[in-house]
Amino acid sequence: MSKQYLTTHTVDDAHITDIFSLAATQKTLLSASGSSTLHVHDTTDPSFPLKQSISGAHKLGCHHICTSRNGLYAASAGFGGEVKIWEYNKETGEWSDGGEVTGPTVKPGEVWAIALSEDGGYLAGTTNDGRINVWDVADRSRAKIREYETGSAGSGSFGMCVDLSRDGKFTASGHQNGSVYVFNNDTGRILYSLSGLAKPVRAVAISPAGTRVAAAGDAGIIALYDTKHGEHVGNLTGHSSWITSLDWSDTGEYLLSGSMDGKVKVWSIERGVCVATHSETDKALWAVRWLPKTARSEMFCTGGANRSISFYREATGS
Amino acid sequence: MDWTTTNVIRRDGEQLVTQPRSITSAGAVISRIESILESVLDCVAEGKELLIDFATGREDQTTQKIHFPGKCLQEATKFARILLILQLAHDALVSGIVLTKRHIFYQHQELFGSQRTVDKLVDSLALALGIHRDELNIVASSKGVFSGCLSIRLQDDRVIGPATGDAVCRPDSTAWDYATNDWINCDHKLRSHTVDSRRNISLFDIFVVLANAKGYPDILTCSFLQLIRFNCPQIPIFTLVDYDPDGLNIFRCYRFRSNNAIQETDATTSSIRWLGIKSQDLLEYETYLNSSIRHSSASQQLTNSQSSEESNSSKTSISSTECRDPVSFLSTRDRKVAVGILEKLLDVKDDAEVVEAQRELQVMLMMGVKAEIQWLDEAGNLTDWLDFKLGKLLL
Repeated sequence: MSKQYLTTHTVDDAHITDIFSLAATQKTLLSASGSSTLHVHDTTDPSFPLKQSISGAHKLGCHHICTSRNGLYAASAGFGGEVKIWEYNKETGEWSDGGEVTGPTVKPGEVWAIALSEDGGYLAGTTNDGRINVWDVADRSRAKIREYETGSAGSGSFGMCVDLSRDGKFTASGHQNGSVYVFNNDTGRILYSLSGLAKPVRAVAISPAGTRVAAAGDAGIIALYDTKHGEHVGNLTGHSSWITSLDWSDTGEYLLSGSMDGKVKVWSIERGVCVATHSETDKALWAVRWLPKTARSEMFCTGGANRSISFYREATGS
Repeated sequence: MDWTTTNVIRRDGEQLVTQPRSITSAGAVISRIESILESVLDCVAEGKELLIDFATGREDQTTQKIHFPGKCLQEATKFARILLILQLAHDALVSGIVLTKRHIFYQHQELFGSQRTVDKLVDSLALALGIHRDELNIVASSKGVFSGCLSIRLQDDRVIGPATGDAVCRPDSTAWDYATNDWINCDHKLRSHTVDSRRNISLFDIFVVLANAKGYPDILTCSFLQLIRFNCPQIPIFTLVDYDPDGLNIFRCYRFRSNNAIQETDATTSSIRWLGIKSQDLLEYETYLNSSIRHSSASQQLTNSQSSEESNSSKTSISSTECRDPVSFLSTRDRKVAVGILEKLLDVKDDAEVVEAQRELQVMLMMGVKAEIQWLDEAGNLTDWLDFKLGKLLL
């Protein structure tokens, strides 16, 4: 049984350059691109209008943006190496500047991929030399509270992606040399070193229940590991290009993946198969994201080199 | 320029022009190399230590012997390097192709370690054989290539055109070297005439700048380009650079001549276009390979059996040691350089090529990979790719 998804809306030329990253909250979708401006689209309206435009956010462009699960905080990382925090105002529905994560712990090149914890209190970021730093961003001092090494000091492999589990127990990171690490945030130690992909890992995602880690990249396959024993429990195969982005659905039943050839796929975890494939473009997709489930049917969106944001909705009543 | 007057070897249905040079001298060099290689084979057969002996057949030469495995690692390495160069030179001489020192380096980067090693070895190899480097069909790496109906009068009144400029590739006189600083060692000959006939754009001269890692524009190159722009503004000029931050910086320099002279963007340089390598080329490469296979198989049917045999043999022999995959990951330094260039590009407004360069730098950082020009070619031969790319651009 395959699932049916329909393109409900496409925001053409949402940005003037490639859209490199997307992050969704209950009501808004934040998008980051090669331009200095961040955009906020209203996802409560079926035409997804541009609600807010944050200009001058990252002067050299922005490569990663993420939100906390409670929808109150966002963080963005720019090509210039700077990291900014954004705060959501519930009354106006707008995002405002929450300041930069600065200081000696955030040197240029120190931050690539980023992830925020459930309440937005902690920010994890990967580095050039394979470390994963965690900052306490709830506190204005923004102190670095953890530093995980993934190789001998200073010689780890470039950290391409990172994710935090919802319960805050785990940090997972994917690296250029193909390794995937899972850290225990309570003890501050490496829990598992997961190998097997051999090629750059461009996306990691911890399942909502915290039981699975999905990792994917240039190998074109999605590897699934369990977090209990660090076992490799399965592969999802079907992409024929680099996989750039992964996202678990709210229930953990489905996994969304996007790749460099413009294809977005929905996978059933239970059955281990691809249940839907879409491609609006043959240009690279840099980001694919589920929208948090609201009263309406399940939705996801994609962004990439064609500069547009496409929204998909599950076809109901079949 | 009349193409039919030069010696022509048909290869894959395309014309390769070789210089009219005496076959005997090439033949002599080939047999010298073969006798050296044979003696190595004899050593293998007799189970003796392998030996390359440059004294063979030369009495006046101080005997120079290199053993394998030899006394130390260095000697073993040197043996392997020399053997590879001999083999490549041999293949090049047999098939009438000219190699650059840079190309030799990229045949086995790990073995040679640095370009300088290759340069030294080639020179000492030529010396040991008692011949000029050019007679090994090995030339210095070129900075650029031009193609089309263009001839240039040098300071010593010699005139070079595409036929002398391309497959000749050998500065016979020092005057040439001096006058052009190895500028037009056109190892990567562009078959613009075939593009012309296919695309019906015979009025175009095509000019390509090939740059390499050290390819920041020098005064000579710039003045040469200026000369072209001044005298023949209709000639398109393209820059082909590595897909890495330095490559993009080289393009930026060609386009703006220097780091600080952005405001000087004028008619002289603004029409220098960026041919590649771009991220799309990396993604498209398979498409290109498929089309080139189709193209070459179609054209092979048109040629007679003898010449297609020749083309096959030349192709297989020259690619007997295939290029290593030069697509590699960005280093921390690369990323710093890329960010530095992005910052510099912020000052440039309203330039479509710069907007594209910004995008390419960002995508490069996202992909985390780089690729050198050598990645595109088939064992040092860029012509097919250039035809493919220029054909699309000039259509």
